[in-house]
Amino acid sequence: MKDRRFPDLSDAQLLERHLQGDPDAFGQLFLRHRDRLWAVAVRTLCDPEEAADALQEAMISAFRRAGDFRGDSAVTTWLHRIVVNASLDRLRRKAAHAASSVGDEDALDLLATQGRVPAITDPASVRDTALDVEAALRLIPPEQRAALVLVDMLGYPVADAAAVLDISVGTVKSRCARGRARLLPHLEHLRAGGGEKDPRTAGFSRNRTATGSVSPGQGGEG
Amino acid sequence: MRRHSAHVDADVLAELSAGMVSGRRAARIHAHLAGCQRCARVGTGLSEVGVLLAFVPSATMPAAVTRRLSAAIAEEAAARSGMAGSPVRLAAQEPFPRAEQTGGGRPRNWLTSPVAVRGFAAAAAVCLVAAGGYTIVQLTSPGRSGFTPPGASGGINNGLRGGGSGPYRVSPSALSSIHPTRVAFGVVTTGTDYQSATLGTQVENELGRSGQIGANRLPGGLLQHQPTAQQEACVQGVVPGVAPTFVDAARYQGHPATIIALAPGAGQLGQAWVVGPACSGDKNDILAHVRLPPAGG
Repeated sequence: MKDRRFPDLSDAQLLERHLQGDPDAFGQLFLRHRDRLWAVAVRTLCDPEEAADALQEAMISAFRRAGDFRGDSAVTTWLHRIVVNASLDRLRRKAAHAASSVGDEDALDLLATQGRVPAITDPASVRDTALDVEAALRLIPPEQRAALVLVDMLGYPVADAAAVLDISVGTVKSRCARGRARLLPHLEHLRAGGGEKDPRTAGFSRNRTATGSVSPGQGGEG
Repeated sequence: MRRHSAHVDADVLAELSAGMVSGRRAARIHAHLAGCQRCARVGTGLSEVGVLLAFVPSATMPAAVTRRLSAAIAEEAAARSGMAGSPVRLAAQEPFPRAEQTGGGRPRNWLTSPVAVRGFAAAAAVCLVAAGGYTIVQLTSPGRSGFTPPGASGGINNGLRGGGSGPYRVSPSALSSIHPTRVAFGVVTTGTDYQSATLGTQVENELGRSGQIGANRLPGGLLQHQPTAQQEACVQGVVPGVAPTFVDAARYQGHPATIIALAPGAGQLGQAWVVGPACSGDKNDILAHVRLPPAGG
């Protein structure tokens, strides 16, 4: 995407403008990367409203702490790290809240969604592979989910995901592997039948094009 | 073929699939897989999980969330600048109240409960449609009016709930502060009847026909006209703060619709939205969304 006021500035230069007091620079930085940041938050939290809250918290934190950015990673990596941390913090707080207040409506919601595959009984929804994936993602530990979101869903190289999550490459690989192992039983039903038009997707057949997807690794937006 | 009595743990198979197991241990597991259909099936499934996840279309930030966060950032910028009385000064005293600080548990609001989330997800059902190199997100909702999140109308809702104290409201003038200048764009009328199954190809053709891929210019040879106020508000709602490469007042599946496209760049996906006649500043009325392959990719 082209920026109206800052068409030629890099992310780092935009951040520098922000530090110099430009009132629009950080907003433009947010607009540049909002979809990727949103994808990270909403896939990790599995809740659009929680994701919006986490993103707002993260963006305000980044706005205020921009001076802490040392330039030892890409600005986008730094922003993603703040968003991931805000998202995981929310999940931890939510889990603690659920454990300490049995009977609370929120806790029941949490149990309902984390204790089993959510009962998506609407036939229209059942047909939707994406919804099934999102439902399955709720069932795995948040740390594994965050790794899978970055690597498998958004196409980040493992090294970049490691930088975002501030863990080692090996730990990212391990979390992804274990996350996939936990997802498989919940996605196994998608493997039934034929539809093996493309060896990349052999096995999974429902509601999915064999040739029609753009790799998430290409998914960066201006 | 030798039979193996013990199955391999799924975690180990996943690590093997991820290339984390090597040497003699990997050889032993591969030998087991050669003789164990169950483990071989699990191993194949594990390698496919990542592929399946990659096929889920990336989420695009809803326009209402973009507006809300832009407003919050603008407020923060105003506070930093000490701009008392500026257009973005908000009514609430607390600059960034957290839901947790308000007590009383998590407020129930739009999209709060998992049931509501599923309802939203069903309403904005994500369908992966084969379309020759494109991922299409088909948005459907009752009444074909598109998903309009609460807060998308009647002012900007920053979504932070404060024990019944109500949301922040930003005056219309605050929007001009967030987007200080109007984004200029023209509207063309190609006469195209865009179809769901070929949306990406058609948009790319219209862009490419005029040599627009990556050029970020409006098509030459097509009659351009100034957008109406509604079209301008609609485009701003769909792609806030961004000048679209291409806006086509056309048809979609035989019905009047407007196509809003951002051309792909080198290594960057383009995007296009199909919006219905109800699209305005308060309602996006997005009917479909498609990502376009990067230019030259």
